[in-house]
Amino acid sequence: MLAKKAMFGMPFLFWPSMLLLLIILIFYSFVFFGLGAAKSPDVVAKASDYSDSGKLIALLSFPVDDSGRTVSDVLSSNPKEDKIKLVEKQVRLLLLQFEKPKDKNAFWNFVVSADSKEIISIRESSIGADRFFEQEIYLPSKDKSLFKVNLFLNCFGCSEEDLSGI
Amino acid sequence: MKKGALIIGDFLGMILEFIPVIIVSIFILFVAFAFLNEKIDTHDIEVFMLSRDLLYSDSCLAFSDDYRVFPMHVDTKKLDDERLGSCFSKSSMGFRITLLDSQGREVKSAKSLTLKQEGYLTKGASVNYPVCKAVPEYKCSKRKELIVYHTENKIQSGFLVIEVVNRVS
Repeated sequence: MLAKKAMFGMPFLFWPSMLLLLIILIFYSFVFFGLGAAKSPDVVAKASDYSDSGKLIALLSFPVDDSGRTVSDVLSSNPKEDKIKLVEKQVRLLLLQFEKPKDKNAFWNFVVSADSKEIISIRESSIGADRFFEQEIYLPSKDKSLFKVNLFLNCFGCSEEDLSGI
Repeated sequence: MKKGALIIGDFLGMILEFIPVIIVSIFILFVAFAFLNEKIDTHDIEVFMLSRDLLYSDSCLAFSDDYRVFPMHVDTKKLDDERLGSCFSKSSMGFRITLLDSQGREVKSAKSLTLKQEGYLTKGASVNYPVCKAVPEYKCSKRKELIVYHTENKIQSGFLVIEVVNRVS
């Protein structure tokens, strides 16, 4: 009886509340379907999550001189300044040829360090950039110390779409 | 007559009472349906898996000697259509492999494509795969990997371009 009154006895309350309900539903339709809010990011296979150290393995296998010595061979043999410079030059050229997100401020970085001291440092980044595809390998040297080799992509404002296929 | 009119009035009242409930239920149904049927895009991870299979497996392109397999090292002798077809097969997926030297010149190429897939994966098109883009059921992409390749007597560095066509729906 009370409900009946609410609809027929008080039409001024029933129809405005229906209108309010429709407005709320239209708003949430926009939020859910238009903006895609609350969609789980986990169901999308992210390129940056399933990368491996393949790029770094290939980079370290790169022959740097005519004798066929690779980047890792040179680094493992406790190289002198001139050899380090040669490796740095070759790696710098290779990094330029690596795939990068298009139309973004993105740079591949390569750092070799031993005992917290950087031996080779090819770094370039923009302020506020994030790191992606971090790859790390430890190389043993002749004097039984370890070289830590890092490769990563610094990118400002890169989305998952930008990173796919890299 | 008076009683009948009362019954009809009660019935209409009930329907009006249930209208908000019906609207909200339909809305919830739509939201649930949209989220349960959320599209999971696996194309990129499939291309990544293919590239790793090709570059890490002895039965695909990876160079091997008597003792070990060298990942990311390509044996140019293994780069042929027959081997590609046997080392990785998925009926909805086709691919073309092009080996480039460090200057970007083509060294060797092989493919595992059906005639139809070859039509989608146009080689040398200035725009990226125009036919493939026009058909929503197919997705095409290209992946370029830095590799080391072994020829008869030399080890050189280069790039392996993997072009993939995949039926996604």
